[in-house]
This record gives sequence, structure tokens and C-alpha cells, in this order.
Amino acid sequence: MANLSSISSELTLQEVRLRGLLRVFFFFYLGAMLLYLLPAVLGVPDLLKPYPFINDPAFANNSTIKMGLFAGLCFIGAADVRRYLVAVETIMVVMLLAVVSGLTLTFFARNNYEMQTGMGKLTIRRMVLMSTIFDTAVNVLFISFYMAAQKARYKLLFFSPFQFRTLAALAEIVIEGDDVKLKPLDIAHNVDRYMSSFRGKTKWITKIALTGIELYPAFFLKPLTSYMRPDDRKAFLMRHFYQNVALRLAPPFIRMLVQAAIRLGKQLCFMGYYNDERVFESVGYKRFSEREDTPKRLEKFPLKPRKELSVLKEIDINADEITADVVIVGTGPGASVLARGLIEAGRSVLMIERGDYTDPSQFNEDEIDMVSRLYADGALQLASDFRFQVIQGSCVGGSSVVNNAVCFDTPDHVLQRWNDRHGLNAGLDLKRYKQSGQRIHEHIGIRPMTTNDFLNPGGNKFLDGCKKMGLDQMPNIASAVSANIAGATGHTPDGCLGCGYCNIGCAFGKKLSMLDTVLPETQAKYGPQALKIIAGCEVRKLKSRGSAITLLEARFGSGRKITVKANTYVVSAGAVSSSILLQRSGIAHGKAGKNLSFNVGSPMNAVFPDKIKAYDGLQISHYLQLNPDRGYIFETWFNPPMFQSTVMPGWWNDHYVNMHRYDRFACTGVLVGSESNAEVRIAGLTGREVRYTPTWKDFDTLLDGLILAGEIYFKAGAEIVMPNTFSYYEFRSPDELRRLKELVKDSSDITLGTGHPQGGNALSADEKRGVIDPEFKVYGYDNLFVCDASVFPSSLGVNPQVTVMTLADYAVPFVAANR
Amino acid sequence: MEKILGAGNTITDYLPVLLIYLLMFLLIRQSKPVIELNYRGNFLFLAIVWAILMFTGNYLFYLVGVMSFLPWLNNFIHCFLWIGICLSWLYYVASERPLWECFIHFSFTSFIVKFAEYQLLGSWQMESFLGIHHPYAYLIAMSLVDGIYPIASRWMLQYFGSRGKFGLYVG
Repeated sequence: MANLSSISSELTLQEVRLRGLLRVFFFFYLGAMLLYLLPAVLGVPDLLKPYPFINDPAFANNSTIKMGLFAGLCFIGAADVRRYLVAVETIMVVMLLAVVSGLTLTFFARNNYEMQTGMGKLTIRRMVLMSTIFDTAVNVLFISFYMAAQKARYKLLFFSPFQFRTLAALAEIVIEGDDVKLKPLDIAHNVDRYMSSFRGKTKWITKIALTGIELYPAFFLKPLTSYMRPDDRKAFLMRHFYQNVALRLAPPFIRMLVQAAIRLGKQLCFMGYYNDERVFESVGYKRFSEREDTPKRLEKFPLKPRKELSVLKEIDINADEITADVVIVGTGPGASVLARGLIEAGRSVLMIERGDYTDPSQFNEDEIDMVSRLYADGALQLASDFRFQVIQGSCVGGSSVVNNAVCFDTPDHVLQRWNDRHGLNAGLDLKRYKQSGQRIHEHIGIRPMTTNDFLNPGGNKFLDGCKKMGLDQMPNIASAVSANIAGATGHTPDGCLGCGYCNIGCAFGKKLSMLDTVLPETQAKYGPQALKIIAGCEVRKLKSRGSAITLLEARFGSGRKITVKANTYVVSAGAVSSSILLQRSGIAHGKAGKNLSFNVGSPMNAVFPDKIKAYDGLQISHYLQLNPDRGYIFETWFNPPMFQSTVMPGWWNDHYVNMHRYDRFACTGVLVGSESNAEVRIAGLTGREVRYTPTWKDFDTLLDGLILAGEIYFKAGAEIVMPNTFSYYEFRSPDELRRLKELVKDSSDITLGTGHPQGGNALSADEKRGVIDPEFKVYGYDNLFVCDASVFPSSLGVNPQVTVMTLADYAVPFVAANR
Repeated sequence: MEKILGAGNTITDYLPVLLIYLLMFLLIRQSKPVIELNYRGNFLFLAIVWAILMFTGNYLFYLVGVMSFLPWLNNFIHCFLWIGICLSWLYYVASERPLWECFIHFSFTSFIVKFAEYQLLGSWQMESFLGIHHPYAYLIAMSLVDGIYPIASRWMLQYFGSRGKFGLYVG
């Protein structure tokens, strides 16, 4: 990590240029000052006689003051461009006001007398315009030099100097504790580096949020945020960004924006602080590579050679027009299983993936680095009201590379609901579906996790609490999860190393993602000509003529476009992206993207008196499924510090204190399979808007789950439990915890998120209800299929990857027969 | 109406101007009648940016006294049809040539069109320009200004395209 606090005291070249500019303009404005003052005092020379206002003492006075002010500010600024940067900023602001004033007078001034000059007649408005154009040019010059100087000084890659300063000012008070390890500038610099490291459509929202935080005090006639003293800044933020939001004192729209801005601002500060290795020891975290027993774990479960995968990048694609037999959009679990099945059936497949290809040998322990490489929008995808986060992988292998490997079969009651002829009417052949499920189990390597694996120690606490409450008794299931994680084969031991890095890619080949299994195995068996993969290329549109898709248009990150003509097209880009693609292509108009659902999640955190080190094991290791179903499922969960800090409850010092008992924390996620009341559409400024507010029923169910999770932790010996609410609460007893429903009134009061968006392009035998028919073909099209989580007719309530793969295997014969 | 069509002009006076645009367009796109896939975004960008810039610039420079007044309809078709479509297509055709060649190419084609508008609509007139008293001085000067189109366009495409903005592709 760069240490900005030891920035060189020498000026950068850009700062030297700024100083030079200030010096030049000092003399310019000094001369201008004299030019205005002297004629009025000493008499107007012939050259200036056509301009009668020159002789006017009031005009001369005002102009002298203006020029004198600029000259003074230039003089001060040039003395030390770092220390007196505010002088330069003042020049820019005042000059901007002069430009606005000039334009206003140019177009709206009533007095427009004419002057006879050597070059002909000149109106006063025209003269003001020329002066305004000059001021604009000078201001553009100042702004360019200022921006270049600041960017060079702080080595900025993403944020403007204005936003960077706001971020540093925010970090100064958000990270509040006794022994803060990083300076605010270092925190801000870490965030700047992160934001510059990935492409994303929603990154600009962070700039808007920081600009909003900076300017908001101006509405209350207070100095801008970064100009305030830290105490005043904290008091302002506490009142206007925290209390007014929590107490609902602001109008709803303002409240939403303010809440979104401060949430985002906080998250950025946490990312910048808790991902820095200098902080790890203070929170009690050790990276896997530094843990004492890591060598023993590696000895117990040695690493195996990884399979090669051939992936094409832009530079490998020579032509702008490509032909293929079957083209699949996406490379996630559904796409990969389908691709394999099609190749086995004699077809050849081209897969096009929006995300980049990261070879697993490049996976590392830096959360920020891996998130930028493996996630869509750097995990910044937010719902339209900024209150709900949708996290999706965007890389070759899709979400299987970044998920927690948890495997659940499609629950029977869900299958029944899907197949209800009077309801969702999916039209699935259940016998064949089960056979597909069986094949997936065999091929993907799904097995129950055992105590032989290195499980999440926090999960054991949760299990302990379940036992004490009697919740582990049948028909409930309280157990370790099943997962597609390498297990023993024959006499060769294998298992999870418990590094805790599932969500940033398994560097050890133990999580059997598509990148480790289906894709390389298929290529190895059938050759890279049978399975071609193009990475870093986003499919933008499907073009059709009548009922046939004729080609797809895709675009690389550089802007280069290609077209692909194929016999058969399959969309398998995930619930959000698949719907967006269909909408953008004008397909399934009015249906695609509707009735989206999620496994909505929110964590319950618990503090124990002893150190648990929940980070030192499989991230999601245990679960509790109640029977009869109460609408939620529990999954124990924990994260390395950066991720965990973004879901850790608390503000200011409370958050700092919580993070500094990080190794005594356990955490459980409560997942509720939501109603299908969400929608994704091409809208908003990012062109991809998820609209979702939990129904009251779902929300109530979630709160019930959180309360029960807290009670389980109390039984297990937790001192305090904390949900991730906007206002900070510590509950020290079950009785206190039961007040949760009074304290949390709606989804704005609590952090919600999901990694499991589902639906949007529902499978149904009823053409009015579904986007695809029971053979996965899009209604109205002969050669277009959809096969991913977007086809779920309703939410699953459990982790979806097995269902996605099962459906893909089930769909193979239909797609294979389409020639 | 004078400000819209120009002094003494009627709508029918604009028809020959449109015909000239069409003929020039057909000539320009002779060698490349279809814009290739990866240039379409660039073409659209240049067409829109130049059309709007020149449309507003023509009026602003008139206000400042540097240019003569261009009637609004003349300004509109000149900027949106001639500059936006025809010159943007000309850039597509000629952009791989050296800049000095593009400068001459653009200046000359611009002169032809401006001269036609001068004859047919009476626009692009100024008694003297930069101290030169000749009826064509202003017209020639404005044509030379259009020679800057390829230089500025190349810079814009490089600058914005290298930053991944506006869907531009610079190869």
C-alpha cells in the first residue's frame, strides 16, 4: 500500500506549473488594476476615449477591487501552492461567479448602449460578452492546472481532487478510535486505487455521493464538509446524515439520497482502512498465508495441479464478424453445464463472457484486488433506491468463482409450486429433472462438509446454540452444509483448507467452480475448437428477423464491436443481465425482467467473550433449516476484514470498537426467499435499474429470523448481538432483542443484500405468464433459449447454484436438437 | 422570416442547396459507402458534437462580431446536414490520410459548399475580414477554419476513446 503521508515535500512538475501560472497572472492582474485605476485619476488616453465607462469612478473602483483581489490571491497562492491552495480555489470560485454574472448581463441587461471604436460600433453587451469569454478561458486554465497539480500531488487515478479531499475528510471521522493505524489521506488513496482498478457502469455513483456529502452543508449555510473542523464535521454528519435519517426528520426523497450517500461514503472508508495490511494485526486478523497452522493444512490437503483453460481475449479475435454453431452468453454454472452437454451431443459452442478471465494462479489475498477482478461493477450494484445491494460475479466461471459453494437441491415444495398447473405451470418433467440433479451431484463433486474440513469456528458456536435450544432435532436440519468442494478420492485425502476466501476466489483449487471443473475438463476432452470462450466482451444486443435471431452484437472494453452469427443462441448471463439483454433487444417486451425475486439476506452479528477467529475456516459452513418451513434459512458466515467491515454494525467509534473485537465475532446470515415483486429494467443513469422493496410479509419474516438467530447466539454464550441496522443497537438479552420489530420499521432501517437474484424470464407453459416455454425456448423465437437463474418461476429460498445447473442439464436435449 | 431564411430568400431557394449537399455526399461516400461496425459510434459522436458546436458557435461568434449573421435555417442545414453528416463521413473516408492532406480536402470541399450558399442564399458575406477587403476573403477564411475539423476530430476521438467514453473505438 502506498504511504501518502510521507509524500515528498518537493513540488511535482504540475504544481510547479501551477505556481508559474499564478505568478504570470499576478502581474497580469496587477497591470489590469493599474489600467483601471490610473485613467480615472490621471486622465483617459486617446486609445481608451471610445470607452466612456473607463472614466467612471464607480466602475474604476469596482474593477480595481476585482483585479486587486485576483492579484492578491495569485500572489498568496504562488507563495506556497500546497499550503495556500485555498487561494487558488477562491480564484476559481470568484471567477466562476464573474462568468455567470457576465453571461446574465450579456443576454438580459436592459442597458445596451453603443460605443464608436476604431473597429466600428461596439455595444456594451458585446463587450461584456468578450470579457466573459476571456474570464472563462482564464478560469478553464486555472481549473486545468489546479486539477493536474492535485492529481499529481496525490497520485489520483479515479477521484477528482475535490472528491478525494472529501473522502479523506470523511475517513478522518468515520474511522474513529484510539489507535487508528492509517492517516485519512492513506485511506482515501487506498479507495482511489481500488476504484480505478475495475470497469463498472456504477462507479460514478461514488463520485456523486462524495460530491453530495461535500456540498450538503452549503444548504444550511455552513462551510463545505472538508473545510469544517473535524469536530464540527462529525457533529454535522451526525445530525444531518444520521439522526435526521434515523428519526425520519427529512422528507422521504432527501432522506433516501442522504442515507445512500453516507452509506456509500462509510463503505468506501471501511474498504480503504480495513483492506490495508497495516491494520490487520490491530483487529486480530491474520491472512491465511501467515497463520501458524497453514503449512499443516496444506500438508493435510495438498494442492493438485490445475487444469488448463484456453480463453480468448480481444487481441486473439482477428475478425469483427464471427460464426458459430451455438453461442452462449455467459460462462456461469448454467452456461458451463449446458455447454458441456451440447458438446457431448455433437454441437460446438462459443461462450461469450462479459467479465475478464483471471487465471486461478493469480488469485490472491487482497480483497480489493480480487473484488475488482471478479465482480460486476466491483460489487457496487445497487437497487434504484440505493438500499439494496445485488452482488454478482463477473468473470469466466461466473458466480461459481465467487460464491460460497453451498449446495442445496431444489426443495420439493418449490418444485411443486413451480409445476402447479393452475399457478406457475413450469411444465417440468420431474422425473427427468431429478435425473439431471443426480448427474449434477456426480459430476460437480457435491458432498457434505465434515469436521475433517476446516470449517468456520463461528459456525460451531451457532450449532451449539441450536442444540441448546433443541432446534437441531428432526425434522429440523442443523448441520454442516453440502458444498462443491474437493473431497477425498479413494485413499487420497482432500478437503477445504479453511482459508476463508471463497468470495474472492479459491486460490487452492478446493472450491470446484466452473473454472476448475466443467470448463477445463470439457476443453481437455473435446478440444478448444469445440468449446471456445471469449472473455472481456459484453453482449449488447440480439438482432432478429421475424422469429429468428440472426446475430448478436458484442463489445469489448476497448469499445471494439464484434458480431456473431450462430445457428442457436442461448442467454445465460444471470438474472439481472439476461433480462437486460432481452429488453435491450426488444425481446419478450413487457415480460422480461418482471417478477424478479431474491434470497434476501441480512446478518446477525454476535460477540463472544472468547476469541473465535471465525475468519479462519470455510466462510459458510453450517446451516439451520427449520421444519415446518418458517420462510427463512440460516447460514453461518464470516469474511476477511474488508468485507466484514462493510456489514459490521455501528457508526464512528462503535464501528471501530466492533472491528477491534473482530476475532470474537460470529455472524449468521438470515435468508428469506422473497416474493416475486422486484423488477429489473433499462432505466436510471446506469441503464440497469433493480427496483425492489421487500413486502411487509417478507420483511416481517426476515425480522423473525433475525430475532431467532440472536436468541440462538445468546444460548451459545454470546454477550451481545447486533443486527446490521442503520441506527446502532446492541442487544444484551433476548428480551431486548425482541424489541427489534419496534425499532426497525422498514427496509430503510436495516442493511439488506443478496448474491442470489432469481427470475425475470420465467419458465412457464403459459405463454402469458412465461418468457420461455418448458423447453427453455423464448416464446416467439425459433432459435433463442434462456438458461440460468432468471428462468426460476419463483424464488428458491436456498442457494441456487445446484438448481441452475440442474435446469441447464435438463435443458440440454432441447437446445441440442435446435439446428 | 428574414432571420430564419435570410434577406430575400424563400424556402425554394434552399432546394438547390440541399441538392448540392446530396451530390457532395454521394461523391464523398464513393469509396466507402457503408460505415464499418467499429466506426459507427465514432461517426455518430462526431456528427452530433460538430453539428451542435458549429450551430451554437456560428451564432456566438456573430454576437462577438467575428462572423456575419447566418440565417437560422441556413445555419441549421449547414451544421446538421453538411457538417454533421457529410463532413463526418468525409472524415471516415479520409482519416487515415496525413493531416495536411485532410486539411486541404476539408477546406476545399467546404469552400465549394460555402460558395454555393453564398451564390444561392447570399450568406457567408462580409465586406472585409482581418483587414482584407475582398468579397471572398471571409468565405475563404471560414473554409480554412473547416480544415481544422480533421485535426480536432482526431484529438477528440483519441482523448475520449482512450478513456472509454461515449462508446468510441480508436483501435
